[in-house]
Amino acid sequence: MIFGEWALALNIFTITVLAFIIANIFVSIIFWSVKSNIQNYTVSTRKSLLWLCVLLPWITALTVTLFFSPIFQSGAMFVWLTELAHWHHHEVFYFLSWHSISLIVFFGFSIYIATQSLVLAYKNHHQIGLLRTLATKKSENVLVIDSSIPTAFTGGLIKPSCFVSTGLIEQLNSDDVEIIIQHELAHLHYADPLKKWLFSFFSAYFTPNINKMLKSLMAISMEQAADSFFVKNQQQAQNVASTLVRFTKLAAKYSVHKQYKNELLVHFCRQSIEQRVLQLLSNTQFKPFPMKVILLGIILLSVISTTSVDSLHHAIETLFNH
Amino acid sequence: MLLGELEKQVLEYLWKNQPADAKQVYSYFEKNRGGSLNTIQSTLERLVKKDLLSRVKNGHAYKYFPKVARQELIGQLIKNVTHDFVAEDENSIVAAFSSISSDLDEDQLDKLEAMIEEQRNKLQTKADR
Repeated sequence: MIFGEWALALNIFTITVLAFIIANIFVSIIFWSVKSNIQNYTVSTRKSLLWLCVLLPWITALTVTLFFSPIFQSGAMFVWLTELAHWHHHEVFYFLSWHSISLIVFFGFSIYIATQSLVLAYKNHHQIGLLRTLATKKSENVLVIDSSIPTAFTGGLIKPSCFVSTGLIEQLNSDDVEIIIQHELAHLHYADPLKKWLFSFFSAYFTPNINKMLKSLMAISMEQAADSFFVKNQQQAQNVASTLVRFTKLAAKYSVHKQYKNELLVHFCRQSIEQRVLQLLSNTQFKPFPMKVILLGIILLSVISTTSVDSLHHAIETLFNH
Repeated sequence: MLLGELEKQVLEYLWKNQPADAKQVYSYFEKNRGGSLNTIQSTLERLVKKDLLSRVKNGHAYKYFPKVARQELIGQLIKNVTHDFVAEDENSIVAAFSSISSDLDEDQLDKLEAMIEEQRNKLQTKADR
Protein backbone atom coordinates (compact mmCIF):
# COMPACT_ATOMS: atom_id res chain seq x y z
CA MET A 1 0.00 0.00 0.00
CA ILE A 2 1.28 3.47 -0.89
CA PHE A 3 0.20 6.73 0.77
CA GLY A 4 0.60 10.41 0.03
CA GLU A 5 1.83 12.05 -3.16
CA TRP A 6 2.98 8.80 -4.81
CA ALA A 7 -0.46 7.31 -4.23
CA LEU A 8 -2.04 10.41 -5.78
CA ALA A 9 0.26 10.18 -8.83
CA LEU A 10 -0.44 6.45 -9.33
CA ASN A 11 -4.20 6.94 -8.92
CA ILE A 12 -4.13 9.74 -11.51
CA PHE A 13 -2.20 7.42 -13.86
CA THR A 14 -4.93 4.82 -13.39
CA ILE A 15 -7.51 7.45 -14.34
CA THR A 16 -5.44 8.25 -17.48
CA VAL A 17 -5.39 4.57 -18.47
CA LEU A 18 -9.13 4.13 -17.85
CA ALA A 19 -9.97 7.29 -19.81
CA PHE A 20 -7.70 6.10 -22.64
CA ILE A 21 -9.46 2.72 -22.83
CA ILE A 22 -12.94 4.29 -22.76
CA ALA A 23 -12.00 6.89 -25.41
CA ASN A 24 -10.39 4.16 -27.53
CA ILE A 25 -13.61 2.11 -27.47
CA PHE A 26 -15.72 5.14 -28.42
CA VAL A 27 -13.33 6.20 -31.22
CA SER A 28 -13.32 2.61 -32.54
CA ILE A 29 -17.14 2.52 -32.63
CA ILE A 30 -17.34 5.93 -34.35
CA PHE A 31 -14.61 5.00 -36.85
CA TRP A 32 -16.28 1.68 -37.66
CA SER A 33 -19.63 3.41 -38.31
CA VAL A 34 -18.25 6.22 -40.52
CA LYS A 35 -15.32 4.46 -42.25
CA SER A 36 -17.06 4.27 -45.63
CA ASN A 37 -17.82 8.03 -45.62
CA ILE A 38 -14.18 8.99 -45.17
CA GLN A 39 -13.63 8.76 -48.97
CA ASN A 40 -15.95 11.76 -49.41
CA TYR A 41 -13.39 14.11 -47.90
CA THR A 42 -10.34 15.70 -49.50
CA VAL A 43 -7.07 13.77 -49.13
CA SER A 44 -5.61 16.26 -46.64
CA THR A 45 -8.82 16.16 -44.55
CA ARG A 46 -8.77 12.36 -44.69
CA LYS A 47 -5.21 12.34 -43.38
CA SER A 48 -6.10 14.80 -40.60
CA LEU A 49 -9.17 12.74 -39.64
CA LEU A 50 -7.10 9.55 -39.48
CA TRP A 51 -4.49 11.27 -37.31
CA LEU A 52 -7.29 12.56 -35.12
CA CYS A 53 -8.65 9.02 -34.77
CA VAL A 54 -5.36 7.60 -33.48
CA LEU A 55 -4.54 10.62 -31.30
CA LEU A 56 -7.99 11.24 -29.84
CA PRO A 57 -7.72 8.56 -27.11
CA TRP A 58 -4.47 10.24 -25.96
CA ILE A 59 -5.95 13.76 -26.08
CA THR A 60 -9.03 12.61 -24.19
CA ALA A 61 -6.95 10.73 -21.61
CA LEU A 62 -4.86 13.86 -20.99
CA THR A 63 -7.96 16.09 -20.74
CA VAL A 64 -9.60 13.73 -18.25
CA THR A 65 -6.35 13.48 -16.27
CA LEU A 66 -6.15 17.27 -16.14
CA PHE A 67 -9.74 17.40 -14.90
CA PHE A 68 -9.01 14.87 -12.15
CA SER A 69 -5.77 16.65 -11.21
CA PRO A 70 -5.61 18.74 -8.01
CA ILE A 71 -6.02 21.97 -10.07
CA PHE A 72 -9.61 21.17 -10.96
CA GLN A 73 -10.61 19.00 -8.04
CA SER A 74 -9.73 21.65 -5.43
CA GLY A 75 -11.03 24.79 -7.17
CA ALA A 76 -14.40 26.11 -5.90
CA MET A 77 -15.43 27.24 -9.38
CA PHE A 78 -15.40 23.63 -10.62
CA VAL A 79 -17.76 22.26 -7.98
CA TRP A 80 -20.42 21.45 -10.58
CA LEU A 81 -17.80 19.44 -12.46
CA THR A 82 -16.58 17.52 -9.43
CA GLU A 83 -20.14 16.45 -8.74
CA LEU A 84 -20.06 14.63 -12.09
CA ALA A 85 -16.76 12.90 -11.43
CA HIS A 86 -14.58 12.98 -8.33
CA TRP A 87 -11.70 11.34 -6.55
CA HIS A 88 -11.99 8.14 -4.60
CA HIS A 89 -9.41 7.25 -1.93
CA HIS A 90 -6.81 9.26 -3.87
CA GLU A 91 -4.45 9.29 -0.91
CA VAL A 92 -4.10 5.47 -0.91
CA PHE A 93 -2.87 3.17 -3.69
CA TYR A 94 -3.24 -0.58 -3.25
CA PHE A 95 -0.70 -2.82 -5.01
CA LEU A 96 -3.08 -5.75 -5.10
CA SER A 97 -5.95 -4.00 -6.79
CA TRP A 98 -7.46 -3.54 -10.25
CA HIS A 99 -5.78 -0.12 -10.27
CA SER A 100 -2.29 -1.58 -10.33
CA ILE A 101 -3.27 -4.39 -12.74
CA SER A 102 -4.62 -1.89 -15.28
CA LEU A 103 -1.45 0.18 -14.93
CA ILE A 104 0.83 -2.85 -15.38
CA VAL A 105 -1.10 -4.15 -18.42
CA PHE A 106 -1.13 -0.72 -20.09
CA PHE A 107 2.55 0.01 -19.51
CA GLY A 108 3.54 -3.55 -20.43
CA PHE A 109 1.63 -3.28 -23.71
CA SER A 110 3.10 0.18 -24.40
CA ILE A 111 6.64 -1.09 -23.82
CA TYR A 112 5.95 -4.03 -26.17
CA ILE A 113 4.68 -1.73 -28.96
CA ALA A 114 7.49 0.79 -28.43
CA THR A 115 10.15 -1.96 -28.56
CA GLN A 116 8.67 -3.42 -31.75
CA SER A 117 8.61 0.02 -33.38
CA LEU A 118 12.17 0.81 -32.34
CA VAL A 119 13.52 -2.54 -33.59
CA LEU A 120 11.75 -1.95 -36.91
CA ALA A 121 13.19 1.58 -37.15
CA TYR A 122 16.69 0.31 -36.30
CA LYS A 123 16.60 -2.44 -38.94
CA ASN A 124 15.14 -0.10 -41.52
CA HIS A 125 17.80 2.52 -40.75
CA HIS A 126 20.58 -0.02 -41.46
CA GLN A 127 18.97 -1.44 -44.57
CA ILE A 128 18.32 2.00 -46.05
CA GLY A 129 21.89 2.98 -45.09
CA LEU A 130 23.24 -0.06 -46.93
CA LEU A 131 21.11 0.73 -49.98
CA ARG A 132 22.43 4.31 -49.91
CA THR A 133 26.00 2.99 -49.91
CA LEU A 134 25.30 0.71 -52.86
CA ALA A 135 23.39 3.36 -54.84
CA THR A 136 24.59 6.15 -57.11
CA LYS A 137 23.42 9.72 -56.75
CA LYS A 138 21.06 11.05 -59.43
CA SER A 139 20.22 14.36 -57.78
CA GLU A 140 20.13 15.91 -54.29
CA ASN A 141 17.64 13.44 -52.78
CA VAL A 142 17.28 10.85 -55.52
CA LEU A 143 19.44 7.71 -55.62
CA VAL A 144 19.61 5.07 -58.33
CA ILE A 145 19.94 1.45 -57.24
CA ASP A 146 21.46 -1.06 -59.60
CA SER A 147 18.68 -3.64 -59.81
CA SER A 148 16.56 -5.16 -62.55
CA ILE A 149 13.51 -5.06 -60.25
CA PRO A 150 11.40 -2.09 -61.37
CA THR A 151 10.86 -0.19 -58.17
CA ALA A 152 10.68 3.28 -56.66
CA PHE A 153 10.26 4.13 -53.00
CA THR A 154 11.15 6.66 -50.34
CA GLY A 155 12.83 5.36 -47.23
CA GLY A 156 14.64 6.62 -44.13
CA LEU A 157 13.02 8.05 -41.05
CA ILE A 158 15.19 11.05 -40.20
CA LYS A 159 16.76 12.00 -43.53
CA PRO A 160 14.71 10.17 -46.14
CA SER A 161 15.94 9.46 -49.67
CA CYS A 162 14.11 8.52 -52.85
CA PHE A 163 15.28 5.30 -54.50
CA VAL A 164 14.67 4.47 -58.15
CA SER A 165 15.96 1.24 -59.68
CA THR A 166 17.79 0.92 -63.01
CA GLY A 167 15.15 -1.67 -63.97
CA LEU A 168 12.49 1.04 -63.73
CA ILE A 169 14.57 3.66 -65.60
CA GLU A 170 15.32 1.22 -68.44
CA GLN A 171 11.80 -0.12 -68.87
CA LEU A 172 9.71 3.05 -68.64
CA ASN A 173 9.97 6.18 -70.75
CA SER A 174 11.64 9.30 -69.34
CA ASP A 175 8.29 11.11 -68.75
CA ASP A 176 7.02 8.21 -66.63
CA VAL A 177 10.29 8.10 -64.68
CA GLU A 178 10.06 11.86 -64.06
CA ILE A 179 6.48 11.52 -62.76
CA ILE A 180 7.53 8.67 -60.46
CA ILE A 181 10.47 10.71 -59.12
CA GLN A 182 8.19 13.71 -58.51
CA HIS A 183 5.80 11.41 -56.65
CA GLU A 184 8.63 10.11 -54.47
CA LEU A 185 9.88 13.65 -53.84
CA ALA A 186 6.37 14.50 -52.61
CA HIS A 187 6.67 11.67 -50.06
CA LEU A 188 10.02 13.13 -49.03
CA HIS A 189 8.48 16.62 -48.73
CA TYR A 190 5.70 15.29 -46.48
CA ALA A 191 8.20 13.16 -44.45
CA ASP A 192 5.88 10.19 -45.08
CA PRO A 193 8.19 7.37 -43.88
CA LEU A 194 8.47 8.98 -40.42
CA LYS A 195 4.75 9.76 -40.32
CA LYS A 196 3.90 6.20 -41.37
CA TRP A 197 6.09 4.87 -38.60
CA LEU A 198 4.53 7.15 -35.96
CA PHE A 199 1.03 6.44 -37.24
CA SER A 200 1.55 2.68 -36.99
CA PHE A 201 2.75 3.13 -33.39
CA PHE A 202 -0.43 4.98 -32.36
CA SER A 203 -2.77 2.76 -34.37
CA ALA A 204 -1.33 -0.34 -32.67
CA TYR A 205 -3.48 0.53 -29.61
CA PHE A 206 -6.61 -0.38 -31.58
CA THR A 207 -7.99 -3.85 -32.25
CA PRO A 208 -6.18 -5.70 -35.11
CA ASN A 209 -9.09 -5.12 -37.54
CA ILE A 210 -9.27 -1.39 -36.93
CA ASN A 211 -5.47 -1.08 -36.83
CA LYS A 212 -5.23 -2.71 -40.27
CA MET A 213 -7.98 -0.54 -41.71
CA LEU A 214 -6.54 2.69 -40.27
CA LYS A 215 -3.11 1.91 -41.72
CA SER A 216 -4.54 0.94 -45.11
CA LEU A 217 -6.55 4.16 -45.32
CA MET A 218 -3.53 6.22 -44.28
CA ALA A 219 -1.28 4.44 -46.82
CA ILE A 220 -3.73 5.11 -49.67
CA SER A 221 -4.24 8.72 -48.55
CA MET A 222 -0.47 9.29 -48.49
CA GLU A 223 -0.13 7.84 -51.98
CA GLN A 224 -3.02 9.98 -53.27
CA ALA A 225 -1.51 13.10 -51.70
CA ALA A 226 1.82 12.32 -53.41
CA ASP A 227 0.05 11.56 -56.71
CA SER A 228 -1.53 15.00 -56.83
CA PHE A 229 1.33 16.99 -55.26
CA PHE A 230 2.66 18.32 -58.57
CA VAL A 231 -0.60 18.04 -60.50
CA LYS A 232 -1.85 21.45 -61.63
CA ASN A 233 -4.35 20.56 -64.36
CA GLN A 234 -6.45 17.69 -65.67
CA GLN A 235 -3.91 16.72 -68.31
CA GLN A 236 -1.17 16.26 -65.71
CA ALA A 237 -3.56 14.19 -63.59
CA GLN A 238 -4.21 11.91 -66.58
CA ASN A 239 -0.47 11.55 -67.15
CA VAL A 240 0.08 10.51 -63.53
CA ALA A 241 -2.81 8.01 -63.79
CA SER A 242 -1.33 6.54 -67.01
CA THR A 243 2.10 6.22 -65.40
CA LEU A 244 0.57 4.52 -62.39
CA VAL A 245 -1.14 1.90 -64.56
CA ARG A 246 1.94 1.37 -66.76
CA PHE A 247 4.19 1.00 -63.71
CA THR A 248 1.78 -1.41 -62.03
CA LYS A 249 1.66 -3.53 -65.21
CA LEU A 250 5.44 -3.61 -65.31
CA ALA A 251 5.80 -4.33 -61.59
CA ALA A 252 3.25 -7.13 -61.83
CA LYS A 253 5.64 -9.07 -64.06
CA TYR A 254 8.18 -9.25 -61.25
CA SER A 255 7.28 -11.54 -58.42
CA VAL A 256 9.50 -10.33 -55.63
CA HIS A 257 6.73 -10.92 -53.10
CA LYS A 258 5.72 -14.50 -53.78
CA GLN A 259 4.92 -15.06 -50.11
CA TYR A 260 2.13 -12.50 -50.31
CA LYS A 261 0.21 -14.11 -53.13
CA ASN A 262 -3.31 -14.41 -51.85
CA GLU A 263 -6.75 -13.23 -52.83
CA LEU A 264 -6.98 -10.56 -50.16
CA LEU A 265 -3.76 -8.93 -51.29
CA VAL A 266 -4.68 -8.96 -54.95
CA HIS A 267 -8.01 -7.42 -54.11
CA PHE A 268 -6.39 -4.79 -51.94
CA CYS A 269 -3.75 -3.84 -54.51
CA ARG A 270 -6.31 -3.60 -57.26
CA GLN A 271 -8.56 -1.50 -55.10
CA SER A 272 -5.76 0.87 -54.14
CA ILE A 273 -4.63 1.37 -57.74
CA GLU A 274 -8.25 1.83 -58.81
CA GLN A 275 -8.87 4.33 -56.04
CA ARG A 276 -5.78 6.32 -56.97
CA VAL A 277 -6.57 6.39 -60.69
CA LEU A 278 -10.22 7.30 -60.06
CA GLN A 279 -9.19 10.05 -57.65
CA LEU A 280 -6.85 11.51 -60.28
CA LEU A 281 -9.53 11.43 -62.99
CA SER A 282 -12.37 12.57 -60.78
CA ASN A 283 -13.93 16.04 -60.85
CA THR A 284 -15.89 15.43 -57.66
CA GLN A 285 -15.97 18.21 -55.12
CA PHE A 286 -14.78 16.64 -51.89
CA LYS A 287 -15.99 17.77 -48.48
CA PRO A 288 -13.75 20.10 -46.43
CA PHE A 289 -12.66 19.45 -42.83
CA PRO A 290 -15.77 19.13 -40.62
CA MET A 291 -14.44 21.46 -37.90
CA LYS A 292 -17.69 21.96 -35.95
CA VAL A 293 -18.53 18.25 -35.86
CA ILE A 294 -15.01 17.39 -34.75
CA LEU A 295 -14.93 20.01 -31.97
CA LEU A 296 -18.33 18.88 -30.72
CA GLY A 297 -17.12 15.26 -30.89
CA ILE A 298 -13.98 16.02 -28.85
CA ILE A 299 -15.99 17.84 -26.15
CA LEU A 300 -18.59 15.04 -26.02
CA LEU A 301 -15.91 12.37 -25.90
CA SER A 302 -14.13 14.17 -23.03
CA VAL A 303 -17.38 14.48 -21.05
CA ILE A 304 -18.37 10.85 -21.74
CA SER A 305 -14.90 9.60 -20.79
CA THR A 306 -14.81 11.70 -17.61
CA THR A 307 -18.18 10.50 -16.38
CA SER A 308 -17.50 6.94 -17.55
CA VAL A 309 -14.23 6.81 -15.58
CA ASP A 310 -16.17 7.67 -12.42
CA SER A 311 -19.04 5.28 -13.18
CA LEU A 312 -16.65 2.49 -14.15
CA HIS A 313 -14.73 3.07 -10.93
CA HIS A 314 -17.95 2.75 -8.91
CA ALA A 315 -19.03 -0.36 -10.85
CA ILE A 316 -15.70 -2.18 -10.47
CA GLU A 317 -15.31 -1.35 -6.80
CA THR A 318 -18.90 -2.40 -6.05
CA LEU A 319 -18.22 -5.73 -7.78
CA PHE A 320 -14.77 -6.48 -6.42
CA ASN A 321 -14.34 -4.22 -3.40
CA HIS A 322 -10.61 -4.02 -4.33
CA MET B 1 21.01 -7.96 -42.14
CA LEU B 2 23.10 -5.25 -40.49
CA LEU B 3 26.46 -4.26 -41.96
CA GLY B 4 29.09 -1.91 -40.54
CA GLU B 5 30.80 0.77 -42.64
CA LEU B 6 34.05 -1.21 -43.11
CA GLU B 7 32.10 -4.38 -43.88
CA LYS B 8 30.28 -2.54 -46.70
CA GLN B 9 33.58 -1.24 -48.10
CA VAL B 10 35.28 -4.65 -47.94
CA LEU B 11 32.31 -6.23 -49.69
CA GLU B 12 32.44 -3.55 -52.43
CA TYR B 13 36.18 -4.23 -52.85
CA LEU B 14 35.65 -7.99 -53.16
CA TRP B 15 32.88 -7.57 -55.71
CA LYS B 16 35.43 -5.83 -57.91
CA ASN B 17 38.55 -7.83 -56.96
CA GLN B 18 37.69 -11.42 -56.21
CA PRO B 19 39.11 -13.62 -54.88
CA ALA B 20 41.51 -11.88 -52.50
CA ASP B 21 43.27 -12.81 -49.27
CA ALA B 22 43.36 -10.69 -46.12
CA LYS B 23 46.76 -9.17 -47.02
CA GLN B 24 45.55 -8.02 -50.44
CA VAL B 25 42.44 -6.47 -48.90
CA TYR B 26 44.57 -4.87 -46.19
CA SER B 27 47.07 -3.40 -48.66
CA TYR B 28 44.19 -1.70 -50.50
CA PHE B 29 42.57 -0.28 -47.35
CA GLU B 30 45.92 0.67 -45.77
CA LYS B 31 46.39 3.21 -48.57
CA ASN B 32 42.81 4.43 -48.61
CA ARG B 33 41.62 4.48 -45.00
CA GLY B 34 44.32 3.08 -42.70
CA GLY B 35 43.60 0.44 -40.04
CA SER B 36 45.37 -2.80 -39.18
CA LEU B 37 45.57 -6.27 -40.75
CA ASN B 38 43.76 -7.65 -37.68
CA THR B 39 40.79 -5.32 -38.28
CA ILE B 40 40.57 -6.47 -41.90
CA GLN B 41 40.85 -10.15 -40.88
CA SER B 42 38.07 -9.84 -38.31
CA THR B 43 35.90 -7.91 -40.80
CA LEU B 44 36.35 -10.71 -43.34
CA GLU B 45 35.45 -13.28 -40.67
CA ARG B 46 32.31 -11.39 -39.75
CA LEU B 47 31.26 -11.27 -43.42
CA VAL B 48 31.82 -15.04 -43.66
CA LYS B 49 29.66 -15.53 -40.54
CA LYS B 50 26.97 -13.30 -42.09
CA ASP B 51 27.00 -15.65 -45.08
CA LEU B 52 28.07 -12.91 -47.48
CA LEU B 53 31.58 -14.27 -48.15
CA SER B 54 33.02 -17.72 -48.83
CA ARG B 55 36.64 -18.73 -48.38
CA VAL B 56 39.00 -21.42 -49.65
CA LYS B 57 42.37 -22.32 -48.20
CA ASN B 58 45.24 -21.35 -50.49
CA GLY B 59 48.59 -22.39 -48.90
CA HIS B 60 48.68 -20.76 -45.45
CA ALA B 61 46.09 -18.11 -46.20
CA TYR B 62 42.40 -18.02 -47.03
CA LYS B 63 41.12 -16.54 -50.27
CA TYR B 64 37.82 -14.72 -49.84
CA PHE B 65 35.11 -14.14 -52.44
CA PRO B 66 31.53 -12.84 -52.27
CA LYS B 67 28.92 -15.53 -51.82
CA VAL B 68 26.18 -13.23 -52.96
CA ALA B 69 26.31 -11.07 -56.09
CA ARG B 70 25.87 -7.31 -55.74
CA GLN B 71 22.54 -7.38 -57.61
CA GLU B 72 21.29 -10.24 -55.45
CA LEU B 73 22.06 -8.36 -52.23
CA ILE B 74 20.36 -5.23 -53.55
CA GLY B 75 17.34 -7.36 -54.53
CA GLN B 76 17.20 -8.79 -51.00
CA LEU B 77 17.42 -5.30 -49.46
CA ILE B 78 14.68 -4.00 -51.75
CA LYS B 79 12.52 -6.93 -50.72
CA ASN B 80 13.19 -6.24 -47.03
CA VAL B 81 12.53 -2.52 -47.04
CA THR B 82 9.54 -2.68 -49.35
CA HIS B 83 7.60 -5.53 -47.79
CA ASP B 84 5.10 -2.86 -46.85
CA PHE B 85 4.21 -2.42 -50.51
CA VAL B 86 1.62 -4.76 -49.19
CA ALA B 87 -0.32 -2.18 -47.25
CA GLU B 88 -1.61 -4.78 -44.84
CA ASP B 89 1.81 -5.53 -43.57
CA GLU B 90 2.25 -4.17 -40.08
CA ASN B 91 5.77 -2.92 -40.68
CA SER B 92 5.06 -0.15 -43.10
CA ILE B 93 7.61 2.63 -43.09
CA VAL B 94 8.57 3.22 -46.68
CA ALA B 95 6.40 5.09 -49.15
CA ALA B 96 6.33 3.22 -52.44
CA PHE B 97 5.05 4.33 -55.83
CA SER B 98 2.87 1.28 -56.31
CA SER B 99 2.04 -2.04 -54.74
CA ILE B 100 3.80 -4.97 -56.35
CA SER B 101 1.98 -8.17 -57.03
CA SER B 102 2.51 -10.61 -59.83
CA ASP B 103 -1.15 -11.58 -59.53
CA LEU B 104 -2.58 -8.16 -60.37
CA ASP B 105 -5.53 -8.45 -62.68
CA GLU B 106 -4.35 -7.48 -66.18
CA ASP B 107 -7.95 -6.94 -67.38
CA GLN B 108 -8.62 -4.50 -64.58
CA LEU B 109 -5.51 -2.51 -65.50
CA ASP B 110 -6.56 -2.52 -69.18
CA LYS B 111 -9.95 -1.14 -68.16
CA LEU B 112 -8.28 1.63 -66.16
CA GLU B 113 -6.04 2.43 -69.12
CA ALA B 114 -9.09 2.64 -71.42
CA MET B 115 -10.82 4.91 -68.93
CA ILE B 116 -7.82 7.27 -68.87
CA GLU B 117 -7.71 7.30 -72.66
CA GLU B 118 -11.43 8.10 -72.83
CA GLN B 119 -10.97 11.04 -70.44
CA ARG B 120 -7.99 12.21 -72.47
CA ASN B 121 -10.05 12.19 -75.67
CA LYS B 122 -12.86 14.10 -73.96
CA LEU B 123 -10.40 16.74 -72.81
CA GLN B 124 -8.92 16.95 -76.30
CA THR B 125 -12.39 17.37 -77.87
CA LYS B 126 -13.17 20.14 -75.38
CA ALA B 127 -9.89 21.89 -76.17
CA ASP B 128 -10.54 21.63 -79.94
CA ARG B 129 -13.92 23.34 -79.60
